[in-house]
Amino acid sequence: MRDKAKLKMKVNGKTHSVEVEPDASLLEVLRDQLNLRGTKKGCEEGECGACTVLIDGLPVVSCLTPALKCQGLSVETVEGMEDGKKLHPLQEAFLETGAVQCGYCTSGMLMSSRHLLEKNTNPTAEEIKIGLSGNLCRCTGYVQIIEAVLSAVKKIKESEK
Amino acid sequence: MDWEAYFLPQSLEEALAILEEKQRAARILAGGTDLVLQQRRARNKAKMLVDISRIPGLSQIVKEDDLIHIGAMCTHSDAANSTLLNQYLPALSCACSQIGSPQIRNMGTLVGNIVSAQPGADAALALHAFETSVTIAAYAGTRQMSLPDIYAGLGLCCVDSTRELITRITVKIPGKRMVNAFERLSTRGTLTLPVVNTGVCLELHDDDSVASSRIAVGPVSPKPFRAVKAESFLVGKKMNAEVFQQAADMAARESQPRDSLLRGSRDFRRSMVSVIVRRALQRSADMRLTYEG
Repeated sequence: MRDKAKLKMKVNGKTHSVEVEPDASLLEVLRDQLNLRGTKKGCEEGECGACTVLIDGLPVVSCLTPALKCQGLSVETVEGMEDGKKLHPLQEAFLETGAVQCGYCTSGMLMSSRHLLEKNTNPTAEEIKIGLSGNLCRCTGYVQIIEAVLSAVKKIKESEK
Repeated sequence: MDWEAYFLPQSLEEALAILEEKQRAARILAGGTDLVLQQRRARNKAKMLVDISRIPGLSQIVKEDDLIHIGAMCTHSDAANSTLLNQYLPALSCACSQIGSPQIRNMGTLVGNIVSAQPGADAALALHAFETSVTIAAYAGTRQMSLPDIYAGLGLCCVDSTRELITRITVKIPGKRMVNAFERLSTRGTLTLPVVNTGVCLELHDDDSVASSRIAVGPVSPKPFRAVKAESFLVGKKMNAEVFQQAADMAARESQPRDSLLRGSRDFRRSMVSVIVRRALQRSADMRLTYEG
């Protein structure tokens, strides 16, 4: 029998201590142990982006990230985007523009978009395409998703006025 | 994925001591983008992993005289955004900016790209356009190896990650006046392997004739390939479109791509070698980056 390992990490601002299998992926720990099921399991090969989360502010694929790599680090998931009961402007914009169809890619898209807007508060459509290039969507054809990010940019600017 | 223990050493000495103690049951892990997949597909079954991400100083890119050192934890994103690399080795930063996806570039490292030893790996291929060496640390001591010597065959690297690790890559900045560029052809813009790729570097005399040249092409042989006939053809020539076309055609003739369901037929890929080498030569000439040591 192999021993479980202690993992202490911050998830969405809150410190969690969990006992994990030494070979668990971050994705498995988030979904199965912390009950944060917004992060999706897609290809499990790092190619679809459905499992994208931020580690210390950078988007990564949680399916290829050993959970224990996150020891002492800060992880952000889609569950951390809303503020109390209020959705993040990106989430509102995704709903309003029809950027959510089957919804499987959405949380990954939101995490990549969030990182993009933190780096670049006024991206062009081309910059959005590059920022979201690691996230695949098989429903929307991407048009509404790019519209959603542009619309969120407007919302954020208006709220800051 | 089946590993029984996971270590996060805080120093290089600690990492090497773990490898020594575990007698080849433990393996070095950096970004994990290749190794975690290999573990899952049972191609590589390490019992224990030694994650080097907490060792201080390994993410740095620093210049020391005419050398640039790139640490073992330097990711493709770090390289793509590096002012130093963009100034001196744009072929390398450009290659790193096109690997995988933004997420993969935030995880995968340049050293991992070398250790996986794929002949078309963009970062490693671009490094072949320069005089590149690596520093390898083992419990018994440290050694240097030049980059081409590190390839033992397709997907095989001389560095044994159960006993040792590459701590840094060192690239010599060529000459006073040099230009370099990277080109890649792929079926999509992202998350795709290259059909063919190339890194070129030219050193120039004051009259803009070519003093020396390096043309690396991938994946057209089991290891990253240098188009040596095209390289020597360019020496002494003045840079112009006709000369570049001739050199590119020579590079295509000496390349040996295989028929590939993923990458295209041998004939197509060979003709594409000519296209990307010509583009890379032209683009590097357009840059006229002058190196003021």
